[in-house]
Amino acid sequence: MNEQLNNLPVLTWNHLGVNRAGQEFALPEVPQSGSAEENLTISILPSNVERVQEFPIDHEEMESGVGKAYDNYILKNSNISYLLKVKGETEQTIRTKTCVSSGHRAIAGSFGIYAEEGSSLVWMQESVSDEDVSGFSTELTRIYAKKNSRIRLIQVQNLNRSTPSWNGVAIYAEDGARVEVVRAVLGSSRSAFGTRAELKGKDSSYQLDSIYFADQTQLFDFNDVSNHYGKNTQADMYTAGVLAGESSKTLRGTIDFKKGAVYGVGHESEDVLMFGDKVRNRTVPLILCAEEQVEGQHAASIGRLDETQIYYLISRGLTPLQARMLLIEGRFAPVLDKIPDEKLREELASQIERRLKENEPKSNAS
Amino acid sequence: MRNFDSEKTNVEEVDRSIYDIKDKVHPSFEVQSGLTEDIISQISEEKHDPAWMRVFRMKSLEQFNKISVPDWGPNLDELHLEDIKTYVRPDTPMRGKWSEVPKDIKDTFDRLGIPKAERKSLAGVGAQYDSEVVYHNITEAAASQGVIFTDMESALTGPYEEMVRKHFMKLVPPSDHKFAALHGAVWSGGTFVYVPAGVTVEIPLQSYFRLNAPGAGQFEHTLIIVDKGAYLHFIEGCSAPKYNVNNLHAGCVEIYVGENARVRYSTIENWSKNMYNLNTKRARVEKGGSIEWVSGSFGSHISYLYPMSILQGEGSHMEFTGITFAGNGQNLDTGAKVVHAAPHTTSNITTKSISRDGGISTFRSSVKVAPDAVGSKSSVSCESLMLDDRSRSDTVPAMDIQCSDADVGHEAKIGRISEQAVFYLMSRGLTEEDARAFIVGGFAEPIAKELPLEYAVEMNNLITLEMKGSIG
Repeated sequence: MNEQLNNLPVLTWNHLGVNRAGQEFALPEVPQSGSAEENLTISILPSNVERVQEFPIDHEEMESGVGKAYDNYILKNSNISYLLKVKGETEQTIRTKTCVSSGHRAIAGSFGIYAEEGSSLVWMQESVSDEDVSGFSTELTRIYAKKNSRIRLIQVQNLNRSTPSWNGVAIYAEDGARVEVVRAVLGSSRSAFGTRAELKGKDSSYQLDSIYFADQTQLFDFNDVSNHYGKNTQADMYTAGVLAGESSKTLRGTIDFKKGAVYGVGHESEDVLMFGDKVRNRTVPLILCAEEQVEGQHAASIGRLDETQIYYLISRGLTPLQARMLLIEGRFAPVLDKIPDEKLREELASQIERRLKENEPKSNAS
Repeated sequence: MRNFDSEKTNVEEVDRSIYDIKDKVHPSFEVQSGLTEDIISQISEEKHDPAWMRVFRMKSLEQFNKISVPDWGPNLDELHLEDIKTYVRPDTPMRGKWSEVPKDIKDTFDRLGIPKAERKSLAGVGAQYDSEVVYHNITEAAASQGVIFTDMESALTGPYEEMVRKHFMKLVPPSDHKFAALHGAVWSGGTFVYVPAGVTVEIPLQSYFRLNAPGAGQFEHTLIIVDKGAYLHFIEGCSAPKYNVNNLHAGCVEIYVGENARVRYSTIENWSKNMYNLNTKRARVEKGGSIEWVSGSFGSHISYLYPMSILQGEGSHMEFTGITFAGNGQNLDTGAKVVHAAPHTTSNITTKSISRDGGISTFRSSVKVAPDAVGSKSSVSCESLMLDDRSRSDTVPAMDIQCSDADVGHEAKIGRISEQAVFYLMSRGLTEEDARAFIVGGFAEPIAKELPLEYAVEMNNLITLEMKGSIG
């Protein structure tokens, strides 16, 4: 399928190759082999969260960062559907895990949160695969946050290296609603992620904390958008990542202040660490603005770790690897700290450490 | 400090009368509208092009017909290329002395301050009137250093033909984009500068371009070659009268910066507000060399302008300082491009943009770091100021980094005039309007200080003019 995915909201020079995800992200055909729900693991739902068959609202304006064409692809092909209606505040974290297995090599998951007024929910989604199975994973999560609701979506993509993946998040926030997306992208041969938040209500807010680690020949493509419509909206989008081996990554981050979004605030940043001679990083941070009374900022820092910091840590007795690890953990902490499962958190931390060791630069920074 | 009391701030539109003076059109030669092979050969004939240039023009025309209009950037639907008379030659031969230039042409230049600028000891003036250079001069001091400062036509047929041929549209090939191809096919006029090795040109060289005939395009070509260790400051300023027919400017600037040479290229662009400014500027910098761009964009209806620097030699450096001021009916898409193609190259891009009264300004940039550009550093900083909620300001930077041993930084800010700062200034006795004008002046100050004095004054005047009526 040749749909254009992860489209940059305002186009720029075509030769840069950043206007949309490349051909390698063309969507695969989903085999019509019936439900794959046996590949979905779910935690027990608290009493005020209800599983529903249909998403309660079909809003034209809701679109994931990957794009409308992708959303329609999922809705048409989904072999897993898990939609939740949240009626009140919940303490308990909802967990789901989708697994690409030899039984179902193709996952097309449609997920959704419809949060009633004043409700709250934390949902952690894991995307994994059995070893030696090569398949693909495509997921869409729609979040409709009604007045003063609070939603936190935690996504951990830890697929094997022969499974490409696509993941879209579409957010719609009413007055005073707050939506947070916490995202760790570690696995997959190639992975496209796109979140898009429509901050429609006044005082609505959105936060994205994203980390990625790419090595070998991994290919990551991100498209994160925050559209501000309501008064006094706020968006914070932070990304930190490591590129090693022959990996390559494109990140598009857009803050768009629409007319009428007075007192809107949007911050966006990316820190990229690059190791090795064959990595490629592309960063395209947009700020679009049609309103006077707003504050928009973005910052990007691409390259190496600060050598004076490493030097300092070594002088305090750390090995160069420990020093680098400490600094990278610091960058990844905003995401790792929000993973509610200690065991998983430690697993991810040790995976990152292992991969850092594997990609140890030949000439030491010390 | 400016005397704010004497200036009214409720003027609706900027008084452009000193720029918008039309002279009677009486060209000696004019090609029919549109673009065909016949027109191209007519131009070649008329300009006595050498054979290679005739072929070059035809090849460019082929490219022009092949390449499509960009699918990004401001909308160009209203630019009807078939209506644009690509070549208009004013009814005057080349002049060496100011006094021999016809009066109506001279008057317009007088109002733009050209001879005055020369009196202020500028090294030379190459003023372009429509598509032909009408007045050209260079002071003896610069000439005696071996500096060549001449119009492109003379350079093409004179003793420098070989040098021109070696460099002409080699940095900006006609295949680059549609308007580069157009330029290659129909270019006329422009300036050729050569600075020999080790020569420091003390006083800036200046050329001032003007468009006059309705519907006339302007496709001047500027070729600057600065040899090893030399230094040059070149100033280009543009201003055109206002007409109702669409006007197109698709000029091209190519700058070759030799080893350890330094070139500073300053522009204050103030085309009238029906102009399509689709200009291409590019520099290639050899080892240890440095290119500095200072660019102010005030005029034109639609602009696509992104001076590009190719840092080809080790340790070469580029610096870009730009300001864009978009007012009513303007869509100015400006920025810079840089390619780090060698180790230890550095680049620094600083821009400011201001949008008011429905104007649209877009900052667009591209920073590329090639795999072997180890130890390179790049820093981009752009700030935008929105003066009302009818305007628009977008920031579209892109970075493509293929070398892990490089440091690339980027920051952008968008915002409005701080109420606190206005309040403070008002508490010190300024009116609100003056306080705002004062703050905008301060915002643009880092750019102003990069410009030669007379241009800084011109820019400040432009800002003051543009700011009038911006409040309430």
